[in-house]
Amino acid sequence: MSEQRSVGASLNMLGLLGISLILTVAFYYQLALGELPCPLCLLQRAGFAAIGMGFLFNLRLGERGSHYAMILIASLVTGFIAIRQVSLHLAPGDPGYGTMLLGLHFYTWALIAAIGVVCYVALVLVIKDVTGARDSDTAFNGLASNATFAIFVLLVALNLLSTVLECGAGQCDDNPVRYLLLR
Amino acid sequence: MYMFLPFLLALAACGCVWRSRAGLSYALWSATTVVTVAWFFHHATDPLKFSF
Repeated sequence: MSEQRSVGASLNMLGLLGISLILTVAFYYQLALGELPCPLCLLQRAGFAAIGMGFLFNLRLGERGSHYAMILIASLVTGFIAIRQVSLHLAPGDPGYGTMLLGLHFYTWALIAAIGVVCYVALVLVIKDVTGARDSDTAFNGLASNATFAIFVLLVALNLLSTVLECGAGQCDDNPVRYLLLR
Repeated sequence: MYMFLPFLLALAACGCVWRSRAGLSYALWSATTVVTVAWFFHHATDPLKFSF
């Protein structure tokens, strides 16, 4: 693999790892603190999974402009859902939903992260232009790529499992306190 | 309404990526996004009292 090609692959792998980190932090708070995600929280996680898939497509199916477009579309969806939840708890005196991380609620972090992803994609495109890296049609199948892929798939699978346990085959409670299927 | 559906579709898309089935991966990504948006509109029912 040429150095020019690996720039794009490395940046997309870094992006996928970032998304995996976001999903891991959310999952840690769910398991360690017993905070069950609300429906809008779950949809923000689904949005991050869709963003991660864009990075994954670039990594495994070759870099394409449409893959970057998918990342941007999924970021808009995630950001819009987060804005909705921020707006619900914006009024003075509202304690918000769930615990906070570094002084901000998770839906506020989700909004910041969604905006951050858009900025990151802009940065990736600029770096690729500056370094002269070309879009690649071939998959990046190294050990690091496989490991990043496996971590992301594991997190999506764990979210699927926990959502089934929490909500069953229906819609979740607005303020869930117990796993529906573990009662 | 299956709350787990977006994650199931995302996982299926990842499986298609593993098998290098690009077209099916894109279709499943689209389905994930559409279902996520649809579920969002289903849940976003409380009115927001903002004026712009």
